[in-house]
Amino acid sequence: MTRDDIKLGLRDVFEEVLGIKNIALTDAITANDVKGWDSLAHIDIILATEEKFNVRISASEASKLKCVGELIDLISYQKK
Amino acid sequence: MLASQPWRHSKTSMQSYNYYIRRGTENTHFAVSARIGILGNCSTETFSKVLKGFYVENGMQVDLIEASYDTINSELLDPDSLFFSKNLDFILLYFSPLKIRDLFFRSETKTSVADECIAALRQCVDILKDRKINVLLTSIPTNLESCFGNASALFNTSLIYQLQKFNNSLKETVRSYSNCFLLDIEHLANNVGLVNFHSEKLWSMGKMPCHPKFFPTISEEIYRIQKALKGSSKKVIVLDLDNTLWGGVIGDDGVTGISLGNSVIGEAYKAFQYYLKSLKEKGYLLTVCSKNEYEVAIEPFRKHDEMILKENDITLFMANWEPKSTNISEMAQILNLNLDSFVFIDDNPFERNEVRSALPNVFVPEMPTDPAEYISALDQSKFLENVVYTENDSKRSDQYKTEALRYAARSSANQLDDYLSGLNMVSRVERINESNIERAFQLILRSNQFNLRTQRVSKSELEEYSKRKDYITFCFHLSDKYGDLGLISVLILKVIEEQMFIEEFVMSCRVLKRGMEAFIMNQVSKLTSELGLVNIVGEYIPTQKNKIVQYLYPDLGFQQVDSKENLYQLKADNFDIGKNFIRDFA
Repeated sequence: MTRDDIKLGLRDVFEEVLGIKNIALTDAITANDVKGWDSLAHIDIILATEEKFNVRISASEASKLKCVGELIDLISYQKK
Repeated sequence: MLASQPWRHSKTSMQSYNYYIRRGTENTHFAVSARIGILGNCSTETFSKVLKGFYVENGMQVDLIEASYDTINSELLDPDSLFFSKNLDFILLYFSPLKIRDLFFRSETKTSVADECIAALRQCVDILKDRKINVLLTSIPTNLESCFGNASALFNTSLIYQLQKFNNSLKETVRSYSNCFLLDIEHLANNVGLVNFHSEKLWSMGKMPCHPKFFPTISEEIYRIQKALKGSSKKVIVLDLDNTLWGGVIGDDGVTGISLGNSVIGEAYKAFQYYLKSLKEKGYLLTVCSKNEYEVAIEPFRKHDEMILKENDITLFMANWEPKSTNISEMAQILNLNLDSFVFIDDNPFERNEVRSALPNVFVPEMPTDPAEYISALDQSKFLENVVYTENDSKRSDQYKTEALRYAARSSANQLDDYLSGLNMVSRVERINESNIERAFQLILRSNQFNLRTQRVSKSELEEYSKRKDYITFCFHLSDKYGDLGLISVLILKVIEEQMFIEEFVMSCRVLKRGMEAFIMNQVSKLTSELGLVNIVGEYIPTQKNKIVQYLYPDLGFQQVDSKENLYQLKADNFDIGKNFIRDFA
């Protein structure tokens, strides 16, 4: 699974959780850049990501996540 | 809208969770039709959002109030709490076992953790009972620890012992408090497996009681309990015969050829019949609707040794070649029950669809092709929600059985009066007391047609009214030559100055058109004049289902109170309000 594939999948996740269609995701995007991405939505994004990609993200990984790029790292590491 | 959702058949997914969250934020034109308070020893914020969305999906706007994390006691001990002023349908008290585990780990006296939790809980329940607010209590999953392996649950110093004790005491609380109802989360967790349900990670991240993908399922349970609390429940199970109660076709294979008992498949059908029989014993009515000649269809009930269901377990037996929907409509008429209290069970998809499209209010569960899975399929379809159960329920089937006899007698009697006077009806009147309150409450909940105000007085209110001086409560029993019909009407009167106001008046649909209302009103009139009051005042509040009593008061001679459309009054000096053929037991 390439990083671009993951980005496409994450776009669905963001649409599903935050209701934002066709969000342009880049590695550098953080919670502050996206409307509605608060601490509760953060948990929902993590859980929807787990379901979408069939991966596990731990509480400590989730709490350290700073940007979309790091989320993609976590997924691509488990999808190798 | 739902059909287009890819997760339609899997409510337990984050996709479904997110869908309901979004539904909950939509602007709807629905009027508020449910009011729910939510308190928890865990975070209930996202759960509330899903619940709201679930209600919207089902065409209801719910007004939700909730408190912040773990504030059950402080909120309810505050006499000015918002939770008391909103006229809530019920308050959900949501318990997470992980919070109790935290308490357990910190406690010096581990053997009393469950007792302490329940004591705190009962304090809240007492307060809510005084305020006449219903409470929905959640049980908890318990297998969170195995400090002694298989023996863990044996010792009162273990967590699992304390959690199990918590559940047992919680259920005891529900049994003994009239305002409490159970939301059995433990059962739900067992169904899906604790490994899926439970999430330590989400407890530490957001104090969530379980994985949120189960919130839609839990919402559905709450929705179902609320419907049962509002009086909508299933009462009649209509059964097909061939390949539903036995294997094969009775018309082709004959009594000796059908498959029942004595083989793998035969045993599966037999087990299904045992299951249905146990439902009958719990108060559901069983009827048969089969495309067959009557003599052929009834034969196994009379002659097959392995039949568990006997002829007298079946309240109505209809075997003919009419469409099944026609037969079911007729059953509804004979039994005087709404179609939405009917469930139709048939292995044949054609028949299921015929009934579904002709009678959309009848619940028609999908059936698996393997009869060995019939029981679990029906159990999973979860139509059997019921919030009250009385010992008398096991006799209901017999009471309705005689209804078919009465129906036949009515059809043959030329004059209604001849029919009624030939019934030898006797009515026994009593006040609401400990022995009849369960049934009185149940009747208030279940009566939709003969229900003048549809107030759905709660059990704790009933208790209170039966003790107060300004309220007079009545229960009426009826029997006739065919049998005892049991407690069939409840009346609550309130003395307001010189008037006797009819606060609640419900009657079982089994006894409509028997002159019972006239008999009752004569009693009310006597009592009213004995107490020196002047008028009896009654009100009719229309609902979708109570048209049948729209003209009850005018028919009994009441006059409309000026300008108030649905308010009627009658001078209490007339003890012969309506002709009837009912004798007073006393």
